[in-house]
Amino acid sequence: MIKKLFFIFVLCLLTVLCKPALADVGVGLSPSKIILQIEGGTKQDFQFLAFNSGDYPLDISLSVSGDIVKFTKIGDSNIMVEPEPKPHALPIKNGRTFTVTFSPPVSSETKRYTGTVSASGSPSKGAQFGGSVGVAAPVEIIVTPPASMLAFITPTYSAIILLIIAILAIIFLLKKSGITISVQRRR
Amino acid sequence: MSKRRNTGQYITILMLFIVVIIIYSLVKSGGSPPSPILGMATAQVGNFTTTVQTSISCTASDKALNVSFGSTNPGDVVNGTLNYYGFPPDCTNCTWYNVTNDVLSNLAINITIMGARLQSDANIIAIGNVTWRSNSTSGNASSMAYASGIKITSTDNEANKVAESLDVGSTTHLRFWLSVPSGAVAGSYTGNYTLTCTQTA
Repeated sequence: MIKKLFFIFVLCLLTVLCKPALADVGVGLSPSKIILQIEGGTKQDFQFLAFNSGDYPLDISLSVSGDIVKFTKIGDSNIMVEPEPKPHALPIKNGRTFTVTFSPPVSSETKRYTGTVSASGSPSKGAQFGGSVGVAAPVEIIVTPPASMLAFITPTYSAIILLIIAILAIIFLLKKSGITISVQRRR
Repeated sequence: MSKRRNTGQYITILMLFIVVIIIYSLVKSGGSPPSPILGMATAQVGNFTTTVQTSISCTASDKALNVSFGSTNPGDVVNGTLNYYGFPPDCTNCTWYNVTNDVLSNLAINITIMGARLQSDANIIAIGNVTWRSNSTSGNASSMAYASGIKITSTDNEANKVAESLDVGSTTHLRFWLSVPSGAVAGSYTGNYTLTCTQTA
């Protein structure tokens, strides 16, 4: 009986001592703003560093918004990041890099596109009014006209040109071998 | 035959011209008259390089991300942030609902807020029924009252920022209120909000 009571007492004590401590949640991003100049029709990769300024490992969501969405891709949309050691100090120790690829369209004039690359922590689960914290880096892409006229030739145009060349080549070869193709109207 | 001779003559003249140019260049570079300043002045181009690194980081307190308005009645106005219940040694009469521009930043930041409605099955309490205020100190400022509350919107509210030009290491303190509509249907409602930090332009 005494052993049972002692066991229950120890269990209760462990439950109280093991109560989860309050944990801060934080997200960081570097760089915090970028302005890039990219030739239209080309691809450019850019690396961001996401880090965790909270107390526990955090699942960080990455996203893109604004005008740049239509030509921007992120390598991984979710990454798990370990917290930075305390006391917090730069440089970042446990951050994770992720790559953003910009592929702006070809344009005959210089155009500016704006948007943001964001990193946010997952919303709290189970809370009546749960919050999440995130950071957003403004992005400005200056798209310049391509140096070569060939950049305006899309794969579709190339396919059409190749088809025309192929048809002409076939007609030429047929003519060379004495075969002719003619069209006659039925009477 | 005469054509070949003409071509040969043209080549000879061209080669002589090239030789004259080369000799002239050599004479010009080595034979300049002495300048009034003693010695020969030279210019050397040097390079300056630097890599600028920027980073921003926001840390929210656990309490700030888990707001509970508790059990409410239609028509109630509830303060969900239980302010001034902090106890020593952490703090006295302060709030644990805050967000900090972490020391891992090297820039001041702006903080904006947006939210999503509270929902219980098909029943909705619009997010505009949740209002907020912030303060740079944890004290009971007169602005930290329901009457001064700002409605949360479904997109980032740039006109009313939670914090503006918040320095590295500085904290802003939050309060939330819920105004329960008088026609609210019974149920357990959950919603969420997002704090977004960007560098001060």
